[in-house]
Amino acid sequence: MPSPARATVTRLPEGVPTASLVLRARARESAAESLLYRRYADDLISVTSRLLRSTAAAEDVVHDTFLVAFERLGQLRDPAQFRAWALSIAVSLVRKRLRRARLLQWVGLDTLHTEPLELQSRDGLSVEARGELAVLDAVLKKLPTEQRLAWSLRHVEGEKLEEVAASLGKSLATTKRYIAAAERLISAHVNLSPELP
Amino acid sequence: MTLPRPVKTLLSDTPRDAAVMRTWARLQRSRRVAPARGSGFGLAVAGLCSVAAGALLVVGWQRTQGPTLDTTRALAVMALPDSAARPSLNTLLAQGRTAPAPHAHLVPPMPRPATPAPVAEPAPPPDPVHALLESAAEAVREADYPRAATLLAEVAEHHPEDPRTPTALFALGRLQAENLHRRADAARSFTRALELGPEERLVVPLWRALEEVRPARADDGR
Repeated sequence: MPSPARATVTRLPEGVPTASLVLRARARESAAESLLYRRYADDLISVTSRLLRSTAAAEDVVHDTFLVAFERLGQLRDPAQFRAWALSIAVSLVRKRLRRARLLQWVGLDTLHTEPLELQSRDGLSVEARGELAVLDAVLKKLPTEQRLAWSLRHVEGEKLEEVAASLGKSLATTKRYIAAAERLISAHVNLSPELP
Repeated sequence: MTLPRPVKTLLSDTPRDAAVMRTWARLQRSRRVAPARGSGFGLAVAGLCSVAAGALLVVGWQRTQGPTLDTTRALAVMALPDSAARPSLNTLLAQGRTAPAPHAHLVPPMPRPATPAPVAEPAPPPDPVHALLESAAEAVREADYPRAATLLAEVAEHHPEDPRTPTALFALGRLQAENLHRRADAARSFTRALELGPEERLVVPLWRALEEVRPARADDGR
């Protein structure tokens, strides 16, 4: 019962362009799906675990993201933009989780064990920096979900404004407004370097 | 203290290999269970509900006819002792051989008394995976580890869709790590087993085995 698709999983070279992988994955070629996953999963788990403050929740989100992405690959207009498209799926799932968590917190039910930013910091970071991260974490939690996501994608992850807007499914103007509103509150509590160009 | 932008430069950037592999194994299992969810999602959900209702009716009818569900095996899996977290090579090979072949998964139909029994049972289809696993077990008993490894690798190469293949790859990885001292190959076998979506009870032991061989990957130069 040989399966050529499965058997070629390890034979695709790593350097295949994303657009080609997407086209092959659309034809349900499992080798291409596997390589697409390997190329972007680590990045997506990292981003979503910082957005959600939980690696376990991030794994759930990335699992659902790829499940949706592989099913709807045909809807991706520009195959080269797979990362941005997958990120937008992930962000929409993160948004749902954050809103649900906020609602449950509001009625007194803590949903998941979270790892605040200061606990995700690099080894050897100064006590002062950890303190600032703790304050930033607390302020971000108070923000409305859209502002929190927009600011985090822009200034925690360093995504371009256009990519933040695409991930949120909002216009550039609305995204800038969210980020500016969040920035006003955050800069009142946390010392941050000047804004990214 | 002024925080730099982007703030993630202050955060840990260690690769999340374990999370990536766990999620991949889960994704494979989910996609096997729910292979396609096209644009007519609502229609599909309605269809699934109908199928589920039908299945419940069938199960209810079958229960009135007598037990057909294999609960013994499920209970045996639930009652696995802690030692099962690191099964021995012989256990793995025995599990692989005793596991049902893909064509044997269906519950046999209820006998129909009105129809006469067939004169001769048709011969069961050949099961090359079972034959390969038998030969591999024989080779291990004879301490012919290279031959056993070749046979198990053949299972993985030619039968990646078989439900026994992740177990065969687990056994292959153990052979490579413990008897052939090829830890890099062992890591690849464990990784491949996880990629194929093994049974739930094998996931943790596979991860432990992978973690055990992974640190040496850079040392053995393979």
